[in-house]
Amino acid sequence: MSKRILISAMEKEGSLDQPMDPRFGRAHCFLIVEGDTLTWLDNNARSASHGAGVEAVSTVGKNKIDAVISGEFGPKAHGGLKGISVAHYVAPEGITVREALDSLERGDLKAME
Amino acid sequence: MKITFASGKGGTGKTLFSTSLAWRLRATGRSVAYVDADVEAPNGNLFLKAELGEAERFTVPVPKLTTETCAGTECSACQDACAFHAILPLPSSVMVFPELCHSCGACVTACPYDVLVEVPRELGSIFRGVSEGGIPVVIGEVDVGEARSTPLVEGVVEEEIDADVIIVDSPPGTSCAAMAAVRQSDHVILVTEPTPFGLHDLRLAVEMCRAFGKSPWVVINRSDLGDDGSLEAYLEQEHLPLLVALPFDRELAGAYAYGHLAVRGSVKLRRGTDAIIEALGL
Repeated sequence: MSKRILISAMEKEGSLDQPMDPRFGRAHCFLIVEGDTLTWLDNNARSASHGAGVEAVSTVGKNKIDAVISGEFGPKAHGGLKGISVAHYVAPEGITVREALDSLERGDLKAME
Repeated sequence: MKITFASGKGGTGKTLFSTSLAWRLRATGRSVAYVDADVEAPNGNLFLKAELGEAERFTVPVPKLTTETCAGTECSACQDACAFHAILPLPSSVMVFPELCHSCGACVTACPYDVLVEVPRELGSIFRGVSEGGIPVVIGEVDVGEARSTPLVEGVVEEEIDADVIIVDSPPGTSCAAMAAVRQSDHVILVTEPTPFGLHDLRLAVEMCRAFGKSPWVVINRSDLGDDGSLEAYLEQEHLPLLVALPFDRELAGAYAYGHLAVRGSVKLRRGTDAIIEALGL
């Protein structure tokens, strides 16, 4: 069974060659990749005045995600993702969504401890 | 009688006027107390120089599980009840983010298994003392790194103080912390300055006061600097009584910078505080 991967993105329903959104909690949108299946999600947390990271973690939990890729994870997001035992990986700013997914596949991305 | 000095823009002179008024009232034999509700940066005591007692720690309630595990993500009732993203269900327990918690207790009530209780979390301190000259002071100071100071502002302004007149030095701005200082007052005095920022923020402060049913009075500090008439025009148009217009005084500014109670040496400032006293009917 394929892993379900969530990655932060800039343009919902856009191309995979778009840049990854370097933010997690306040990402514009999320893309869930499972094998060949792509599912786009709005990030409703992004305009929360506080706790955007916490709500984004909730989204990850509710969608049964196995791994998350983003540019950076704030302390609440990091703590929350650790709490729900979901591995989260940091990809460099400027990378495209496609490149980030490929990097994860090749094992080139570092998981946050 | 509770009088709050507020402002929109910070640095306009709330502490100058509130400490000066307290001093002047005491000097004329009145029973007056000073409350420093600017809990993120309380500075009134630099001027009043009260010897403060030990810090009384101020706490707010936050949720905690009474059991090792709970239904966690299978349940999520606490998260659904929380408006502040402060509680996150995990596979078999919850993670609390106390700095986001607004102490409303909704999660505790919502938990269908009754395994959440409220426990105290330290937010800051309250200090008490009596100034040189005999003015009781109450100072609130929030702990460094805390995101929410409003509960402590509420705590200090609600303190029981034995005085006829209580002067509250509010936090600047119009956020929840400033509102907490203003809402329980009998009188609100807005301190402003004749600059575009001053006027912009004064408008917001006036709106805030009126939202709580208060009709604020206005004091203009550094009144001879920078204005093009728009401040006075605004006050007239909004029927806001102007109690004092204090011109800039370099000597006064210097005394203030050294932590001196400038009102003791400045005739103009003394006249200003007396005008406020008269307006208050004291």
